[in-house]
Amino acid sequence: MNVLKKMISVFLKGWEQFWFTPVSTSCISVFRILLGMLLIQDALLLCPDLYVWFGKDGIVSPAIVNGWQTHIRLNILNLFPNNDVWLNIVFAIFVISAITLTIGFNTRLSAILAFVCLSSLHARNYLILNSGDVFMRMLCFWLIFSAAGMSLSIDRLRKRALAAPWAQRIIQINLSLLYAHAFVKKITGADWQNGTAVYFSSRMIEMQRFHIPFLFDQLWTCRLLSWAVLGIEFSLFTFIWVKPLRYYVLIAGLLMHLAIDWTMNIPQFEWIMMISYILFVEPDDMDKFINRVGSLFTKLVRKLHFRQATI
Amino acid sequence: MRIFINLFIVIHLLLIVAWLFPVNTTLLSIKNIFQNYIIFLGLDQNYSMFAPEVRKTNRHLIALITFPDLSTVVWTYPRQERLGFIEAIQKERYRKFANDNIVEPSFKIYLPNFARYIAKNYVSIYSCTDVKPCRISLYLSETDTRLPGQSSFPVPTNIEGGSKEKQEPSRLTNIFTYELDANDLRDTY
Repeated sequence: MNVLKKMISVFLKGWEQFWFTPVSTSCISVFRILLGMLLIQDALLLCPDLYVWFGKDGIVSPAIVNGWQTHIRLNILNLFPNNDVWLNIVFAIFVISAITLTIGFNTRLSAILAFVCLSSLHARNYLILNSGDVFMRMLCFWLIFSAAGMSLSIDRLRKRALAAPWAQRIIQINLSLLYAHAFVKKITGADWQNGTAVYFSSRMIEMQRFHIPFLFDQLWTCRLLSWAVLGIEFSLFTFIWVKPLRYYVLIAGLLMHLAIDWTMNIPQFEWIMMISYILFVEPDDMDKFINRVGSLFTKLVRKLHFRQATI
Repeated sequence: MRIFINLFIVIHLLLIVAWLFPVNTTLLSIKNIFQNYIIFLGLDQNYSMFAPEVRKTNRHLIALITFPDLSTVVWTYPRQERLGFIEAIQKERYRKFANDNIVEPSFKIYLPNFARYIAKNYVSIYSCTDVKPCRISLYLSETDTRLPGQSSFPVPTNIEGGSKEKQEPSRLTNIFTYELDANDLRDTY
């Protein structure tokens, strides 16, 4: 009985420490800025074909989308379906909330609006979404509950605050589960087991970007790359939680996603994954980095000011 | 307040795990019970890109637009392989829509509207006032990717761009045909 009590006590202490011990909000704030920038980029990419994807005369009819789905989705476009004026309003709110989220103005409200608008666009036409879009929607949702506006924001100029990181922890766990899911799905496939997955994916002409000589031209290198992807994804939900190994795992993940982004055209997907890694950086390290960048910037401004004064 | 936050954390983590890994009856039951909540908020997730198998075909969609005099025009969407760097990023959703999704049997309910969209799009671009299309036929062009040594063309050929592999012959399959009526092209010219 005493052993059980002690175990519960240790568990509760660990739970409290993991979820609620205040940490610097630098990481979640830097993440907020980068996510906001990706949301703005997403809006810019969607804008030229907005009516094709989401308009009343678009490529996918609102009536069919609403009629075919067996579950109701959060979609404020359905308040006035078949209305492109309302679509423009929702899209404008999305763009504005992405901007205010980036600069940290009314951060929580901005996150809510960005999430609601993004979810609505996704529900309106999910035939154009990739996994990166899905995860971006998750990130917007979890950001609502975070302390992302407590640093590097208009909401809180200058002073960097501490806060309980529980929402940040949820995003970390969601990211780990993402890689766990991807790994489990892959490992059951013959292409990944025999190492030909990278060979076939690198020959999808529609997705090719820049060619890397030699690396994808040999079957044996493609095999090594396939197994390396499995190894890195495995590490990203296991060893990433081991502090001494964390940064090595993150670097491996970054290299993997950068290589994919160089060779394949999957807009935003790799960058959404990579910015999420910021949440695994130690808060002290992020504070040091921000202070370093800040002091370099201050020196540069002083130098430029001095030059102008002497001219 | 702390109790509510703890409950929120536990419930949502359980929902994510149940959604992604419904490996036993308990997790499957949780997924089924809460799926309305999960789907409404857009918390449904799936990260199975290139998994479990990688598609071993290169494919694209074309539409054959037929007019009453039986003349035809080929319609296609922006093809990634023909676009520049920036344009390919911006137009990638067309690839996702056409190559990955609309050609799959599970999305066939969207094909009639897609056919109508193609017809309207063509009519509005080319200002067809007198002769309007009467039929839209969707064709899927597929080319297999084979491992070295399995190719129909065993002798490698140098192709500009660095690849020494020659493309397999393509297959063209009619996946859908739609007969247009006057109502379909209303609100156009």
